[in-house]
Amino acid sequence: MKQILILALLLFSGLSSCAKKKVDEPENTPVVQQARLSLRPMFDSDYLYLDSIYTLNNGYKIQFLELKAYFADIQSGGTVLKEIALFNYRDNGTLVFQADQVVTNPTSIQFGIGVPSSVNHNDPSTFANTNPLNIAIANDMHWDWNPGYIFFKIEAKADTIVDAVTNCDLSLVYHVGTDTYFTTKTISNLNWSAVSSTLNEAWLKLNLKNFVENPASPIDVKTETSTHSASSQAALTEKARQNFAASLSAL
Amino acid sequence: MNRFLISILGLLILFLGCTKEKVGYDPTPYTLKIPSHFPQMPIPADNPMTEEGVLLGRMLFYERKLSLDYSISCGTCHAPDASFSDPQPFSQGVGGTIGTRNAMALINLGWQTSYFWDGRAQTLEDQILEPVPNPVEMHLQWKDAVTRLKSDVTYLNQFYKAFGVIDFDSTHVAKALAQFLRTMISGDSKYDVMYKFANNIPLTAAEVAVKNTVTAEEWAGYGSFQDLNGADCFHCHNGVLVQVQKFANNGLDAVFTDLGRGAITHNANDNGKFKVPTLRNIVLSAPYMHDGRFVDLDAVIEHYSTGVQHSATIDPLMEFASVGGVHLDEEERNQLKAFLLTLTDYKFVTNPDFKPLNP
Repeated sequence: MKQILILALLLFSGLSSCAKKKVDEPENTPVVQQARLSLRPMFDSDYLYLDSIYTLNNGYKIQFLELKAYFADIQSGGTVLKEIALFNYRDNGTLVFQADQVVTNPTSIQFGIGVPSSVNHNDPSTFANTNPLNIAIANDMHWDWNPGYIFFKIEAKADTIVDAVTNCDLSLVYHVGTDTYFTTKTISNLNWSAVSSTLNEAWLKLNLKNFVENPASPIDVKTETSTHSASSQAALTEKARQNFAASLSAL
Repeated sequence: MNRFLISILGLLILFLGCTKEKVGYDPTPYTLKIPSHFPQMPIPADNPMTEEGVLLGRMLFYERKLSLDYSISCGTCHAPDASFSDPQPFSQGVGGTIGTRNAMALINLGWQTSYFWDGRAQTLEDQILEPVPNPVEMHLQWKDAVTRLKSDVTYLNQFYKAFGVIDFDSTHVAKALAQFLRTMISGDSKYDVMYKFANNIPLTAAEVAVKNTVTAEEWAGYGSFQDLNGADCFHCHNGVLVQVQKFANNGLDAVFTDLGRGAITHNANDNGKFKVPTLRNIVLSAPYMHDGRFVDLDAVIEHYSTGVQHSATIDPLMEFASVGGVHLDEEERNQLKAFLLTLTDYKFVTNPDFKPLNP
C-alpha cells in the first residue's frame, strides 16, 4: 500500500512538472488620452484622390500622383503634441499623427512645415527607428545631394491642351526643402471632436487647387513644371512654399 | 522490492524525458553587423535573429533538395560572384524551364519594404515561400520539400536548435532563410566613404585613406549622378541603400509587354512600374532591368541618355523623358560609369559567411 502511495505521489509530481504554467490574470491598464490630427487633401470643395483627374480654372487637367509633407513642432497652447510627423497620403492616408496627448487649447495649433534646421542636416540613419526622420521611414523624402529633408513634395501630371482629349503627359514636380524654405503656420479655428472616450481628433485640409491657383502667386503649370529647391529654382520654390502654407486650413 | 526500485527508476527517466526539450533549445542571439551610416534593421518580432537560425538559413540557401530534381538551390540563381543575382537575363528552373524576369540581386534585403520586381510580397518571409513551388523555378511542393528535409538528421537537429521544433514546416524554412538573408549587408564600398564624406559623417582613418583614392573622374560621376541637369539618377537611387522604396516606370517601353506592378494591383496607373532596385554592386549584377534587356552599364547609360520611351505612367521624376533622356556626352558617360564602379563592395561578395558551408 505504501509503495502504491509513493508511486502515485511521484506520478502526480512528475505530471505536475510537465504541466503548463498558469497564465497570469491580465492587469487593468490605465486609460490614456490620445490626440489625432488628420489632413484631408481637397480640390476646391471636393475630396482629392491621387491618380484622379481634376480641372483647373483655365481648363487644364491635372492628376496628382504624390503628396507628402513633414510637420514639425506641432503645438497647442504651449504643449508640444508631436515633434515631427510625416504625412504620406498614398501610403498612410489622411493621418498626420496620433499620440498620447491631451489637447490644452482646442482651437489653436501651431506647427512648422518642414524639418527644423537643428536636425535637418543630421545623419538620417541616426534617428530612432520609429522617428519619421529615420531614413528607413523618410525614404525618398531625404536628399543626399543637398543634405537635408524634402519638406513637402507634390508630384503631378498635367494636360495643358484644352480639348476633348485628356492626356496628362506633362510632369510636374514640386520638391521644397532646404532651411530657407522652412515655414511656420498657425491655425486658430480648429475643431477637436471626440472619436471615442479616449481619442480626440481634429482635421486640417490642404486645398491643392489653391496650391496651383493661389491668387497671390499662381503657378503656371505649363511653364513652371519643376523645382527641387536648387538655387536656380528659387522663384518657383518660394511660390510653392507660399502656396502650400496658404492652402492649409482647418477643415 | 526490486520491482519497486525499477518502477521508481522508470518514473524518474520518464520525468527527465518531459524536460529534455527545454534544455536542448537554447538559441544564441545573432548580432547584425550594421554599418554605422545605416539605419537599424527592422526585425520581425516573430523571427528574431539567432546564430542557429542564420546557420540553418545558410544551409538551406545552398540546398538542392529544395528543387524537384535536386538540380538547383537558391544560390544557383543568386550566385555570390554575381552579387547574388543571375548573369542570365532569365533564370533556368528545373527541367530547363525559363522564368520571365531577371533574378534580383540579394543585397540589404532587411531594409526592403516589398519584394520581387512587382512587389507582390510584403515581407522577406513571404517572398521566400514562392520560388520553391514555382513551376518555372524549383517546382517542388512545400510538403515534399519539408519531407526531404525531415529525412535528414542534420536538418532535424538544426531546426530544433533554431526554432525548438521537431515537426517543422515551410514557415520555419522561410524564417531561417530570411535570417540568413538579413545578414547579407553591403555597406563597405568606395561609394560609402564618398557618401559619408558628402553627408558630413565622420570618417575613420582607414576611410580617409580610401577617400584619398577617389579619382576626379569618380567624383565627377558622383556629381553628375546627383545633378538635376546631369545624369539625374538620385531621385530613385538615393542614400545608403542607393535606392528608394517605390515602384517606377523608368521609360523602358512605350507599350508594355509586362505590366509589372499593375498586374498585382490591377490599377492601370501602376502599369509598367517595377521596384526600384539598388545600384550596389551594380557592375557585378548584369544584365539589367526586370527583363535583363541591357547587357552592360554602357547600355543602361545609353537608355537613360537617349532611349527613354514616353508612356502614360512614366515617372514624373524622369524629367527629361520628353526629349528621350538626359543626353550625356561621352565624357559624362565615362564619369558616370566610373562612379557606378565605386558601388562595388568586394568584401560583401567575397564574405566567407555568405558562401556554402561545404562548397
